[in-house]
Amino acid sequence: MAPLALTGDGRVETCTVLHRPAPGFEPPYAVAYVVLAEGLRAFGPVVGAEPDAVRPGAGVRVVLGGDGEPPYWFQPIEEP
Amino acid sequence: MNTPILGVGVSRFERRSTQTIEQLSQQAVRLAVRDAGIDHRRIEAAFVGTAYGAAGQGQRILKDLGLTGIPVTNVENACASGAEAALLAARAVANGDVAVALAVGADAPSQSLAPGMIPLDPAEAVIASLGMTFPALYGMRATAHMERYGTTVEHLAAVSVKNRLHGSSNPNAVFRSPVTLAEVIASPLIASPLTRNMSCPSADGAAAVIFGRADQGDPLAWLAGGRVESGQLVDVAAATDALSTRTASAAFEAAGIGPQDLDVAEVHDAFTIGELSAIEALGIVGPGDSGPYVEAGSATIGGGGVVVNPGGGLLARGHPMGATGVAQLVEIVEQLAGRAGQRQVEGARAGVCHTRGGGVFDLEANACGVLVLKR
Repeated sequence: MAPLALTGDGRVETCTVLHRPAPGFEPPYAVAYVVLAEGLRAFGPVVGAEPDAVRPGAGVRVVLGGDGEPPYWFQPIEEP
Repeated sequence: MNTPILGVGVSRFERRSTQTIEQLSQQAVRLAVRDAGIDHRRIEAAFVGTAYGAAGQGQRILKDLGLTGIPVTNVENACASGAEAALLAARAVANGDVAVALAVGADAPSQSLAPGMIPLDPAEAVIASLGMTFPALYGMRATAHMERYGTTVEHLAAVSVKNRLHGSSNPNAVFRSPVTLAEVIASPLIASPLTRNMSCPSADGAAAVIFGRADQGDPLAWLAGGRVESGQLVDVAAATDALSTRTASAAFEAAGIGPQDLDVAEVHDAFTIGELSAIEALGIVGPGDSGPYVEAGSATIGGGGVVVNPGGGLLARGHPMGATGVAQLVEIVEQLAGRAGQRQVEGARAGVCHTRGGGVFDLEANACGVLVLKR
């Protein structure tokens, strides 16, 4: 195994909007599996868009969280 | 394998039973023993599957039935616990280890779990901190299936309509009333596109099956073959269910019959997308063809295709996790023995049970079980 530097860019593979939340989350919120540019698949919440607007194929970027926040989340990126 | 099934029994499934897991299980075992027409002292080994049972759950159930001193194997494999227990019991007979073996599946989550959804593994704190829930896995699979195959919300809802219809003639089911397509779609969202009426109810219940050598009684049906597999570190929410596909393929090979021979199936419809991906994984329909198949009524009793979840599935019967695999087996045995009454699939000669589950993160699932039966 070896460390791999990630750009943090990726694309939503599949997603859902949760109306029954995990502890600490306010419903409704979107979660997704994202395929990162390097080919890895990662799960996380999608923050910064209307939950229902998050769809497969959407471009997202990883944002790292701080104390009291999720370890990371996905932020939609504007696409031309 | 071809292990004869001599008797089956199942308790009422209820959201909150007034009976304990031991009492529910004892009721199922007594029914199975009576059905087999044997003296219970001829049971030489017992295999007891629970997902949320106590330590020594099998012994706690069996001691008050006079079944002490025999080998008791306690099995935990998430929602495939019951299927695993049944397969082990059938193998014990097929191997010649014992002449008669008992399989029990049971859970009473209203007594053993906090109210609400089945929890994710508490060891999986990181994934919970990212917002994951159990329904999220099914919601994401449903989104992927819609995206890839054009599956619609109506297809997803049609599964509930069918299974609630089937469940309305199952006296042991939690839900014994039908629902309409509009009601299913209009019920509150849980994990989009899945609504509450596309989700199975939690339930307390138990089921039991007695396997025996052919000289031990009158077989109702035969377990032709089966397989329980564990998940791999691959797409957990993909449009296709690779774990179920692998498990089904191995089970059919062991059984020597294939999906083309099936008349009836009981599959893991914890959420309606689970039934759609399962009937594709089992080879009953091709990839992406499940929604139209169910919507057209082909999987409904009398619909002309392979009837799926004639007992109402998890959606109507309810889902005491460890009990489900054995309850599915009981339903298929009743169908093959021609004893299913109002919900009888005419002329059923071969059937299959499929169950999967468990939330160890990044695995497809903890386990999947597929059992193939014939008469």
